[in-house]
Amino acid sequence: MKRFLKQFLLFSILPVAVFLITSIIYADGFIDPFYLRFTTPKQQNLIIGTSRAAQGILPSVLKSNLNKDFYNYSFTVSHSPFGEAYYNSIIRKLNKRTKDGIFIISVDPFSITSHYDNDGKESFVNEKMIEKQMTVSMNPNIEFIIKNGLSPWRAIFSHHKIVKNEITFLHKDGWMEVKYPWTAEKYKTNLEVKMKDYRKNQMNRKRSSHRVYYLKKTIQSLQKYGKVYLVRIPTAKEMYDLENDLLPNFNYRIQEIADQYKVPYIDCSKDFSIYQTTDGNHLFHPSAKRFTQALCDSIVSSR
Amino acid sequence: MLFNSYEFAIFLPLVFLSYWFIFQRNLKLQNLFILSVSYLFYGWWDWKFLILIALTSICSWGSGLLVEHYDKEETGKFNKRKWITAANLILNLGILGFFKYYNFFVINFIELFASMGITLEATTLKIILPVGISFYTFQALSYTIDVYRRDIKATKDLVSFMAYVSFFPQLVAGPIERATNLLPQFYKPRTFNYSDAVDGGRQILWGLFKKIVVADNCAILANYIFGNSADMPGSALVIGAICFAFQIYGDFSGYSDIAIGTGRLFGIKLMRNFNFPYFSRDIAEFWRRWHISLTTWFRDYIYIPLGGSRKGKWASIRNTMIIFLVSGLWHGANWTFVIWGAFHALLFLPLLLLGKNRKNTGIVAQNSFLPSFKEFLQMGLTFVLVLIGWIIFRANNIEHLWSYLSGIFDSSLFKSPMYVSMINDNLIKNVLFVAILVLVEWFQRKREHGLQIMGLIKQRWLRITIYYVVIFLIAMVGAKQAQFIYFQF
Repeated sequence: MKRFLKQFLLFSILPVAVFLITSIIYADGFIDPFYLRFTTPKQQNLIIGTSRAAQGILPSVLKSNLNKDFYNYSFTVSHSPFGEAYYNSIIRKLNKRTKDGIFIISVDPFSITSHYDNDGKESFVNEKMIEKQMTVSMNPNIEFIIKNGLSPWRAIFSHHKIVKNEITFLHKDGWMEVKYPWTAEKYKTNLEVKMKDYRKNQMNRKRSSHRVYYLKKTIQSLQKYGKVYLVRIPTAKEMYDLENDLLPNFNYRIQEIADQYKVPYIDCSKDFSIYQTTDGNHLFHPSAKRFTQALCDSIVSSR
Repeated sequence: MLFNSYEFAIFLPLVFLSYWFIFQRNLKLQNLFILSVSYLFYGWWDWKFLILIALTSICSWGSGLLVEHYDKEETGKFNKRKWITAANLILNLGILGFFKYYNFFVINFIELFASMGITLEATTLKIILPVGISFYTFQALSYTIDVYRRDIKATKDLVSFMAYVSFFPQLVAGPIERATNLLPQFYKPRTFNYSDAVDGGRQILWGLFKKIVVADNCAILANYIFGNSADMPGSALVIGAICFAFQIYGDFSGYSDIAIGTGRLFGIKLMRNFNFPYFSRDIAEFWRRWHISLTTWFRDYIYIPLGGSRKGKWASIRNTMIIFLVSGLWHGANWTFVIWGAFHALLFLPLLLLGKNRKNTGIVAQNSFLPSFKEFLQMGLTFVLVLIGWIIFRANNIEHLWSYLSGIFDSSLFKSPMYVSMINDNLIKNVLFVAILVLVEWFQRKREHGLQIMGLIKQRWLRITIYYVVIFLIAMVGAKQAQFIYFQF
């Protein structure tokens, strides 16, 4: 039996060691759009929201202006609209010893609305990934790799071949950089595709009291650890109009919530002429830098 | 719990260590432990269906005791042994029939009467098919029939019997064990055998390779092509059929290898279920090598009791048709399975009637490395026939089957399928994985499984390298975790 157990250990330890070492050394922002977010330590200052915030707010710019390490813990509109799953994940990622943290919560009409099925049941199906991810600050994050069928780990060995064509890169501070070769022509195509997609797939969303509840709960919980700022990131005019069609009184509602919890609401939704997007929805990275700079100014002036 | 899941990767070592280090000294406790972990394994999927498996076990155990009890009191015309056995068979087949075939028969009766202009009102039920019900029911039935035939003594040991019905490695997808083989193994103490356990480990590794690397990768193309068959050229449909042939083989024989290997880790020998079936030279040989535990079950409990081939030509034809049709229906409530069974019966009958069904009983190319030209042609032809059978088996319904088959036999058969991006992206790697499988199994065709290389490769370092290559392939190129096909049966 001893001999058998020794052989078993020999055959399990080596592959496991290779798995762990390669995951620690070689996993970078190219292998997966989310993986690194679950490998960094618990954080004191967070950026929260959907892909708009993930691409539009740069922790490095916030750090240079506000002298704090920020972490962008935003995912996508499918994975991280406000809700129980995202709320629990934020709380897991938060360093509970934080005293004077800064929490930037990006809001938009899509993050407080939901799809409903024919029976009127609200859908949370896309939030399962966030919900089931119990460890959010473990490196290597074995849970994430295993739950994703080893694909993030396999990408370590394959992504170097395709890295030259790769346009998305997740930075260690959580910022999702889209290295997009912007041209007016490409932008026009992207905008058309995005608007068509949103008109078809997102305009049947309805306001969700569940999501509003969790937005409030997120604010309330984070207030215990520092100051909360609600931010509406600018988009293209077309997207802004679409959002107004979806929830015409969105700004009014958010202002009400901001007043209720006495937090500033920085609404930049009408700044569409100032910033450039890649597809109408996400800020192009030079614009994202400028926007974050402006956001810093607003935060400083509101103190 | 799936064999290819991380839960099982934790479950198995824990159970193994507890089994040998904590419970080895007391046989009854060890059997109770096997029973408990088997129920945990099954209940992981849905604990509610544990009631069914417990009911099947307790009724079969009780009926066995009663049959044996009345063995001595056999008087008069009323044969109690027969009635008790029949009652237990009806109960078990009734449960199986309800969960598996209720909706199928209701729908078909309604359609049959509708075709005669009679409208029937009946409702179908939302029935969830309990995983592995066909497997453990047949295993319990084998005990009932064996006790009735006096081939085995009825057991008073309920725990051993329940462990026999629910032994976790083969509970949900076989091999369908016989009471005569498995049950006595629970009566006597098991001792740890190093070389058996190591070879069991190798067999598990090979089973995982077949499932995760071959079957799950082939499944990507097979599912895509069968799912979009109307838009595919004939050449792509042939690729889809070949991919499914290797998907179902890798999936099911991989499961059996893992089950048998796991059994060996616990000192329990399970019967062989596959014997390199794609190297068969005729359909009769294929059926001696494919899903052996089910084929022999039908042979021993249906074909031979009906008279087998001893009662003349017509009885042979009738009996052959019956076992193939029942075998088809055993796989599921769909006419495609029945047609699949009938198709194989039609292929098998000429061999039976000409007395050539036992022509190829040995190992192909027994004394040479390569097959002769004749053997090669025979294997090729058998594979093509089996392939047609798999198209029937995999089709969603009869219309789908017809459109798939007619799609193959048109001019697009000679059109390159590479313009279909899914095929372009996956074909080469699938060909490579299938080639590895076929080559390894050809080399190993005289042995129990693909990785039984002890004695064949003398150098230890080379054997270790091979194991690591297999582990590497499973980790690097295995497809995403997918359920085993035979769970649905």
